[in-house]
Order: sequence, then C-alpha cells, then structure tokens
Amino acid sequence: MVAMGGSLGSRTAVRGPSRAEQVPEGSGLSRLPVSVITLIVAIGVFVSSMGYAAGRAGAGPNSGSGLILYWAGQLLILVPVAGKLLSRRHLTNGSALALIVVLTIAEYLLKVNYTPLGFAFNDEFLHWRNTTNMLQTGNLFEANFGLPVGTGYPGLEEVTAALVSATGLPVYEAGLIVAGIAHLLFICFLYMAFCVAIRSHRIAGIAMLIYFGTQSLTSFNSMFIYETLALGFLGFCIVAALRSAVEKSPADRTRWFIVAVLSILATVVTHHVTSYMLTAFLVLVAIASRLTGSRNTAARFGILGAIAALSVTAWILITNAILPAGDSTINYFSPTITGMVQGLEALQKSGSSDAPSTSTSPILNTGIEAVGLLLVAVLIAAGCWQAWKRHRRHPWIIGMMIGCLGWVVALGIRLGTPDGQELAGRAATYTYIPVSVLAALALTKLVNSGPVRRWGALVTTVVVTCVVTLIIDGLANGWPPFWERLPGPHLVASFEASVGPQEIATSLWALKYLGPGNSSSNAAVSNTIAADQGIYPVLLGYGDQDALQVVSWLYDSPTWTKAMWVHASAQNVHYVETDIRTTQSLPPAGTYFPGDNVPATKTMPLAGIEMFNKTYGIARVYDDGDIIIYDLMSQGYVPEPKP
Amino acid sequence: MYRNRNLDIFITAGVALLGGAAFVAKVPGPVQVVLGVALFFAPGYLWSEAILSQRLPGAERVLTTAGMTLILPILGGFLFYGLGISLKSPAWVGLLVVLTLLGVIAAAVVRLREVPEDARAQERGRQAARPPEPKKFPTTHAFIFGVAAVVALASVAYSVKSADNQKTTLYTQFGMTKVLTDSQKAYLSVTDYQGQAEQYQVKLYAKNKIIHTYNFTLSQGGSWQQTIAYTATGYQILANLYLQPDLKTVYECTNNGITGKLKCPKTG
Repeated sequence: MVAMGGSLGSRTAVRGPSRAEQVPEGSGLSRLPVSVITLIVAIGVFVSSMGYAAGRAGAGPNSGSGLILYWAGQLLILVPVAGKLLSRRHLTNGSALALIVVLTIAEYLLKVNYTPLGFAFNDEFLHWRNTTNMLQTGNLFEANFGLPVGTGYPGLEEVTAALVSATGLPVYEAGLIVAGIAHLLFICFLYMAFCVAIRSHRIAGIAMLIYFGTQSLTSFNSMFIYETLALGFLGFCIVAALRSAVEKSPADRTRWFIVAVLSILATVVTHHVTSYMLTAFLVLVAIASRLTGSRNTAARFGILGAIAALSVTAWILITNAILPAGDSTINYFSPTITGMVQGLEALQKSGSSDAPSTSTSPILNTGIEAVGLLLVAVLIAAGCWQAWKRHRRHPWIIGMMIGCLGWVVALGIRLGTPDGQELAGRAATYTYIPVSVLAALALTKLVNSGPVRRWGALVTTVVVTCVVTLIIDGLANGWPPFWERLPGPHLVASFEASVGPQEIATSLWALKYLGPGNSSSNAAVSNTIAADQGIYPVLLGYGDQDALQVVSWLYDSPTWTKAMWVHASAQNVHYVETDIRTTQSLPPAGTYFPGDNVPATKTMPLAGIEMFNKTYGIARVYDDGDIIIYDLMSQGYVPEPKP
Repeated sequence: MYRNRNLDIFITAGVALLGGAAFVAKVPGPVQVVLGVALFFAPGYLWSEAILSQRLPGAERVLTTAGMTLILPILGGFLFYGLGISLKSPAWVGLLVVLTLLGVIAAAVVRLREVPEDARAQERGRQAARPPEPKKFPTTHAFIFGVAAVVALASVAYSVKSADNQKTTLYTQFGMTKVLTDSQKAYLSVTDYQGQAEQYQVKLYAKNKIIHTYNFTLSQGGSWQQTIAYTATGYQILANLYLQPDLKTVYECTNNGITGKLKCPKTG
C-alpha cells in the first residue's frame, strides 16, 4: 500500500531500484512483459487442468500422462513468475503486485478445477453445513457435528450467507467467491505489509514468491474454511497497523487504527488460531519496536496487541458460555496440546518420537522435502545474518528474525509429535511469514553480491530453480497428497478421492429419511452414525449426521459380541454404515476410519460387515449395492447379543 | 471534476438499492446475481471511503473495499443477532441495504467536512501539484490480458465438462425407514441412479408372506416412495428390490432387523 501510493514519509518510503537491481542480464524471462507472463500462466492452468482431466478419464493419480501434464502446467505457472520476480532487471511495484496476483489466481483456479462441480475437501463440507443451517434457521450459533468449535466462529458463514442472500447463488458458488477473495486479499495485504517492512517492493515480491512454498497455502488456505477468511483479515490488520504507526497525519493514523481494530474483531470471531497468531504478531512487533527504539510503533502495536488479547479472551469466555461444554475452544485444543506435550516428552526420553506415522510418500517427494528444508534452513541463517548486519535498528525485520524461531519450533513438532506432519503443515501458514522475509533478504543479497553478479544469468537460473523447487516441495508435500494428486476413480476411505455422487446421494438420503443428527426422539441421544473415512465428511456436511470417530471396533468381529454391545450402548451408536469396497482394497490414506491412527495393513474382513446382516435387532434400512446402512436402535435400544 | 466528486456515492447507492429491489421483486437469476454482487460490495466501498477518506491509489482502494466488504456483514450480523433479528435471507439483504445507506451518510459527512472554504483555490493547488497523468495502458497488453482471462476461464469450463463426463458408479438407492413422526409406519423408497430409465419390482414380505408387489419405472434421478405399515418388534418385515427383467436375483434388500425365515442376501 505504502509502496504503491508512496504516501508515507521517508522513514518508511519504499526504496527505489538500486544500481544492482537495474543491472541488465541475459535472462529471457526478465524481458517478458507481465501480460505475456499472465498468458503463459493461464496456459499453464489449462495444461494442469488437462492433467486433472486425464486423471478423471482413467487411472486417477496413477495416470502418467496426467501427472506429466499437471507438473508441466505448474512449471508454466511458476517459472515465468519466478524468473521475472527474481531477475535483477527493474520491476515496478505494480508489476510485482500483478505477478503475485496472477500466481495466486492461477493456483486458486487449479484448486477450483480439481473439484469443479462441488466441494470435496473435508473441511469445506462442514462450513457448507454451517452456512446452510444459518440460512435455514436464522441462528448464528447452530450445532455442527463435524466441527463443534466452528459454531463459535461464524464469520465465514455470515459473509457467505450475505452473498447467497443478495445474489441467489448456491452456497458452493458463493463460497468459492468468498474464499477466493479472502485468499487473494491475504496474499495482497501480506505483500503490502512486506513492502512497508522491507522497504523494497522487489524483495517483498521475492518474499511472497518464497511464501508460496508454504505447504498449506494453495490448499487449506484457499479452501472454503474459516481460516481462509480470517487470514484475509490478518493481512488487512497488519497493513492497517503498520499504516497507523507510520502515517504522518494524526487523522490518517487514527483512521488506519480504526480499520486495524475492525480487522482484529473480525478475525477474533472468524477463526481461533488466526486470532491467536495475530495477537502474537502484534505483540512481537511491539516488543521488537521497543527493543529497536521505535517508541511510537511500539505503543501503537502494543495497544492493538492488547485489544487483540482482550478480544480473544472475551470471545473464548463468551463462546464457552454460549456453546455446550464439549464444544468450547479449550476442549477443542486440549487433545492437540496434550498430544504435542506427550510427543515431546517421548522425544526427550527416547530420542525419537513414538508418533505413529501413516506417511509413505514416494522417495521423490521425501527427497524434495529434504532439499526444501535444507534450503530454508540455509536461507534463514543467511537472512538472520543480513538482518543483524544491516537492519538491526529496524523493528519489523528484527521482529521477523525473532519470528523465525516459530519455524524451528514447528520443525520440532513435525519430527517429534503425533500428527506432527499435519500440525507443522498447518502452522507453516504463520511460521513461513517471517521465514519468507528473511529468505528474500538472503536471496537478494546473494544475487546482488559482486562475485555472483559476474555470473549473471547463470546465477539467476540457479536461484529461480531453487525457489521453484521450494514451491514444488510445498505443492508435492501439501494437500492433496500424492495418492490423490489428480482426481480420478473412487478410492476407499480416502478423503476427496472417496467423495463422489454416490456418497453425496447417500448423505442426502440420510438427511431426508433418518433426519438430521439432532432429530432423535430422545433429546439426550443424537442420531449418531458410524462410517468409514470416505463418506464420513459428506455425512457430516450434506447429511447433517452426527458421524462418530474411532469406530473400527465395530467392524472387527464376525459376531455381535457383548463388548461391542456395551461399547455401542455407551456411545449411543444409532446407525452403522458399511461399504463393500472397504473389503476389496486398502485405503491409500492409511486408515479406514476417521480418528484411527494405526495404519491398515489388510483389507477389512467381509465377515465384519456381514455380521450386522444376521444380528437380531439390527435393521437394514438402506442399500445401494455398495453402501448399506444399519439401524442398531431399530427396537429403541442397541440389541444385546444372544448368549 | 469537483462537480462529480460525489458521483461514486450516488452510483454505488443506486446500484445497491437496485440489488435490494431485485431481491424483493425476485428478478431473473443473472440479473439478481449482478445486482446482488453490487449490493454485497457497496457497503465495503462506501465505508472504506468514509473511514479511509484519503485519496488511496486504485489498487489500494480495491483492496480496502474488498476487506471492508468482508468485515461488515460479520459485525453487522452480530448486531442484528443481538437485536433478535433472525438471520435469514431477507435479514441479510436488509443488513446490506442498511449498511449501504449508513455508508452513504458517513461518506457524505466525511467529504463535506473535508471540503475547504476556498475549494476552488484548493482545487487549483491540487491540479498544480498533481503528478503527470499516468501512462495509458497499452492496447496490446490489454488484449493479451484478455486472452489470458479467456484461457483461464476456459480451463474452468473444460474441468466442469471433464468432471461431468467422468464415469461414476451406477446404483439404485433402496430404503425402508420408520416415519420419524410415526413408528407404526415406514417409507419404502427407491431412487434411480443407473444413468437411464429402469424398471423395478419391490416385493414386500411380512410374516414370511408377500403382502405387496410393486412394479414401476424410474428415469435417472427419479424416485418412488410408498408408506407401509411397520413394526420394529412384532414380526419380520423384509423388502426385496429387483432390477427387471431379472426377477430371480435380489438386487437390493432392506429389513426391520427381526431375523426369520427370509434373509437379505449376503453383502457383496
């Protein structure tokens, strides 16, 4: 923002291109205008989409031609943008922003093109359900069986409901628009914040490019989920906070301060983790500003940090009061924190984590991940050196330097705790912000250094290759994983690859004939259903069923046992879904059932699902050839096994 | 220029009000989409004008407008909820219209307060200090951007077509479920997803006898439903679905959980 308008004082004005930045070089990419690069990127999107189509037409993720097309398309997207941003040729602020926007839209379109007919990513179903419930009932805090904590953070649903109401669009289309805008805003605001923080739009552009190496950026952070929207607010708040600290006019400072406060409030009621991270960021910059002697900035950020902390605390207390005890934010995070602590304790005791791992990534993915980690570690070290040597009086850069510790912590979590891979992947959204800034500082210094400049285009090529490798690492090891890189035929119990028309129709049937999860005649007992991982999110979303986790014990035995009866009665299991396909192939995702953490090593026994068919008192209420639903409580109670 | 400096407010308010009217009048889909999008963004634009009244560059204005557009329904929704207003579609449209009208007032007040006494002198000074007109956007680049947009949108259309054509499992849903409000009755239901019209037969058994035989034809997506007398504890009820012309092989089966002489075929 500052960079574009140039409305700030000299203290934060964006530096113009230095002599080094204007050195001509032989790279062809650097000479291409942004419009031509945009066209190449659009062609890349088309080529990758052809890869998706090849997957759908046959072998899915095993389609060789599909994979080649997908990655060729990605290279068409990434290489021209990276080449232009990383070249030493002068790039205007508008061009840098345009390239970042083009890259963001291209990757978002690929996310849309993966499942263009409807939502397929698990978490999106949950917010589809929340939005639909809000529009039907008019209540803000409607129960959601799949994401109880999300009930207390209805920001995304509010915005989407407003758009659905105004336009008459279905929730899917409206959700794509809201998520797309929020995602693009996050990227643009982050770029602008970098411009202010680093005082160079060129380095800011490179930092954003490196940020695209974040594993969750093009997947989780662009899905129709509450974090996507909250990140947009986080970016808006950071920019507004920076402007409120550096604007010359007191009136302008006040105006930006108001925007920052509004952004904080919107973040707090939209997503828990993002609001905590925003608070941490504001406090971090306040501390860094104090350490570097920028008292005004420290005061502004300190006040905003305090407002954020108070808002977060107040909202946790309010939601704890409004929502049922089990759905509170504290309850939501308790298992994660306990698991992390236990994992770290195990790491301390044994030197290695006992965390179960379901990850069996191909060697190429693992290799590129290792290279990526090494590159990032080296760039962080070099960036920290640069920051200390040249910017030690700069509050934001020092703040970013301190923030890099988050990456180290995330690395520890990744290696040492259960679900560490996923947690670290999700945390990367935040930890990569300071990392990308420092990495950009290091890369720019490297490219501009005297000895390296002599090698001109060769060095640029190497740097472009390294950065593109980082981004490909993020894509390859992010989501969707390698076994569903391309859409394709139905896979057993495997997230998006298991979501098809049959699962959706079954869920809609369940909602129509079984009623929603809270429609049980007994108010104390909900219509719970046990189901495999494949249909689980669809039952929660479209079906509005109270689908249970960790239910493999129901499918293990060829006979209905007393232990199962006790367990099922205790958990009020009302319905059980079985899918014949689970007896025919192993789940590429690792486990058959949600919440299980022991990878399946053999297919499910047919006797385990056939058992329901011959047990007295268990009604077979639905059959579509593959999926069968049994009613365990057809007689009003879970039947006791006959002796 | 000065004469038209409030034109944006009037246009935004006008389009937003049309959006509200379109909702009330239930105009055809595409018109409502266009006007609805305008209504959705109008409060964001006006409030970003009101709060950040400084002359922001174009891209900044777009981004702050979009940011405020996403923030306002959230905070406004909480306000309505606090006032006891049910947040169904009319309330959301009403909220957007109210936010737009308040935004008009706020932006107008801010602009009035900013008009200096000697506006003409200010305007002259501004013109003198104004930076040179930005370069015109070359037509060639605009054309290339346009082609890129077409290619990108074509990729979406291509993906939709590809997903539509994807081969999926052909199946038929067969259900027998208690009526939620009357446990003495149940629905027998069949829905066809065979990709074409199919003839079905349902045989309903009670106390080991056929009590009903239903024959019907369903096209793709078509449904059949019958209400039957039901018991969960008294005697066995079982229903077999046959896909004609094969009336010997049970295609799908449902029952009430009471085991007896008749059995559903083994799974798979």
